[in-house]
Amino acid sequence: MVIEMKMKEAPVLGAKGSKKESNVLKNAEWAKKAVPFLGLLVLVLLFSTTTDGRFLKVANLQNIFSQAAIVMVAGTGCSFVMSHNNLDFSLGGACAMSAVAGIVIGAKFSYAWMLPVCLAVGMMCGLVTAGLHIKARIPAFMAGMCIMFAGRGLAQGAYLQFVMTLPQDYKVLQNIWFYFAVVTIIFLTAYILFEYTKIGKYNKLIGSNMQVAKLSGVPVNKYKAMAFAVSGFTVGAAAFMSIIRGGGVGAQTGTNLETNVLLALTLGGFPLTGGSQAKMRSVIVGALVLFMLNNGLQLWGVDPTIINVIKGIVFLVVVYITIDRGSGGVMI
Amino acid sequence: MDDVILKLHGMVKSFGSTKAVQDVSMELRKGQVLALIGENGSGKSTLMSMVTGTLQPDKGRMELKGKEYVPDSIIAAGNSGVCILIQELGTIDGLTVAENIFLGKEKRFASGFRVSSRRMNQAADELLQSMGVSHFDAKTEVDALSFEERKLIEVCRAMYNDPDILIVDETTTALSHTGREKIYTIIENLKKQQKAVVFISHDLDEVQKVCDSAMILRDGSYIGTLYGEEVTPENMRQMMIGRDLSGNYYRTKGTTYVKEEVALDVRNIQYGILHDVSFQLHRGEILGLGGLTECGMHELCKIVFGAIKPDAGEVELTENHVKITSPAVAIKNHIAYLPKDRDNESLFLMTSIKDNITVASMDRLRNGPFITRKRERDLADQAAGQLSVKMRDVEQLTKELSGGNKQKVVVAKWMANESDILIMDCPTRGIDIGVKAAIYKLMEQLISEGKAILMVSEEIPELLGMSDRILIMKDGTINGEFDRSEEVTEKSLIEKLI
Repeated sequence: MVIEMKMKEAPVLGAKGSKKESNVLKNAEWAKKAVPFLGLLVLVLLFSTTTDGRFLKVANLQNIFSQAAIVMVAGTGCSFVMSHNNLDFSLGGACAMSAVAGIVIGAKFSYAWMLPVCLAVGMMCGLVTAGLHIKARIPAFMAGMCIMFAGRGLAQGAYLQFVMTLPQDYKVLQNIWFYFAVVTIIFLTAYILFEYTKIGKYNKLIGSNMQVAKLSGVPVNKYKAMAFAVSGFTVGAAAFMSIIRGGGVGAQTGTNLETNVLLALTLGGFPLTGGSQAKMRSVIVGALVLFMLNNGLQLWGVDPTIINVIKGIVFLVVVYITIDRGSGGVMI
Repeated sequence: MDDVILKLHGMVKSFGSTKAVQDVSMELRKGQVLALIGENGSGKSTLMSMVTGTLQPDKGRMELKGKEYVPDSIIAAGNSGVCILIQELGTIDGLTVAENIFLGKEKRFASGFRVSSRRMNQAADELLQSMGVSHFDAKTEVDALSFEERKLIEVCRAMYNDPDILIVDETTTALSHTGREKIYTIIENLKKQQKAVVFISHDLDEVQKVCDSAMILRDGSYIGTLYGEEVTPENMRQMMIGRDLSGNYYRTKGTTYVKEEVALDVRNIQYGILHDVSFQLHRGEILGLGGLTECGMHELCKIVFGAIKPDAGEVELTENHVKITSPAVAIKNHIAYLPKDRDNESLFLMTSIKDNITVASMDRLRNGPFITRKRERDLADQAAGQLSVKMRDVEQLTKELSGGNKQKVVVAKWMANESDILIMDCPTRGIDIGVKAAIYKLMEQLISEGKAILMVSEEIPELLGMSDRILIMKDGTINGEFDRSEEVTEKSLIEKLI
């Protein structure tokens, strides 16, 4: 058999062309990161120019922020869970449970107990979810959902049993600066935990690849449980805020908190499967986008049912643009 | 000329600023077994991806059997008679062997809406028989099979297409001796049938044995082709690296750093097929552990590191009598583990090089509960520098690195933790000679500092070249022990291995 192969001296490829391509690639990455911020900017511009200035009124902006604040607080904690590639569906129920426990014990003993009880019950809910997930090996979103239903039921039952209104003294806290202070304190603390301590770093790495994390000496279960505990703690704080904001606890306290947090995180560009690309700022940006969209559409006079449809579409578009398909393992 | 099957003209492919393939041309003839060799990142896989339609060339043109050839997918390539066996796993869990073999071709066994699984199984069994496979049949679910057996299913799938050209992309690195022999026989048969084979491998001895010609690429450019007698490891090595590299990059014989002191004591391990395995690892020693893929040695590594809990037996650190019960305990005691499966077990691909290096050293970086960026960066810079990882900076994503550089990052991670005992499972699997030599050199340096290394390898020359002592495992037990000496040969090891 005669075998032959031709060779050619390779001319160097035009450096210009390749540079252009790499810039395009970089721009695409950059664009992905910028989408949430651009969305926020577009919404602000759009609604400020089309609502006869009603959107930019101080009272309206305060209203948006006080709604978003609860989601921001619960979301900062939840991002620890989401960064290790789990979804926490217990938020709404856990929030309801904490709020009921807080106000009932507050009414019985002293309202000074309200905040610590909210935080403790929230954290307990987080640990129960973690226990069910880690020890009993139930998918975390299932365990969370059970807590969600239990919490909802409890809140509705309690609504019929107790009078759960906040005494007048506490209504001074119904003030934008209170919400702002809580968000600032919780966010900054969580940010430091997320970026500069093992809790955040390990959880992100677990989300990147659990097996590698395990083989690199990360105590995976312990840090997953810690993430749920942090999430529970912030839910407790969110419960306290909803008591203040609602002037007490009603049958609807905490409703949709888990979906709103999930929407906000995703709209803010938080990766759905967690990992090292997760950024805490997504919570703030996403919550603002979510509630501005809501508010703006209401000011336009859009039917509330249609608002939900529009939110669904916006959500889909954002996920389509920002989702990382690389890790999904799509076959040829 | 009539007997040319495939012709490539001036193929070019870039990824961003990296020119993966630059103006490469080649001709493949009937009955030719051509090796495509080069270091990691030299463009072999990219070139073959264009031939199989998974990548589209930026420039260049291909001709198959005299006709213009523009495959747009791996399926289109398969239909034109170009099949590929890939490096990683290509079978689907939850399906039977037959269903995997005839994936996408179920129509051939259909009558109306029903696919006849009886006829499909029959056809699959015939195919398996023709390959000399008898220990599992068409109805077996692939989940129950080993990596190697699954690889054979892929071979069946490729052979069923009756390809004119078969591309074998580093398939053999994952296979044991018997598995390799099967692939060699298939290649031999294809050659007899006047088909053509492109063989990609890092194992130059294997290339010499299997191929009648070898085309060398370096940094995406064509370097040259060797024919017949010219295909020797020395020639290939020289052309791949572009400089003379002495034939032996293993340790020089006669040097030893082995001390009396035992570093790690592994006692009576019982797990899966592992049965009563005991050995001691000494300071300053490279203990080689060899065998077939399924002999249990890979699991043994994980047990020694604490990642798998054995049914019975224990691993004890002699120095302080600590029992290794989890990776966290192991790492705290400066034990390192480099898994065989790099992409799934040792690296966070979508994460920066920095995070990959610092993950095992967090407790040393901590200042109270806080870990600052600067300390992380300093440690990563230092460790990556020590290993001379080729990268933009430590913030670069690990997935962008070549195979050899990825492994350097893994080694850097354990150097950063000042590891004292290293468990290396196939440390040079799928790695080019340059990095290989660097890793060997580092290993020698480590034992000269009194550290201990447990090296699992499927390459017999590597075992012989690097180990102070070799344990050969067979079916879960230690079947032979050899000291470093001139008398130990490949043959004596293989006898204990099979």
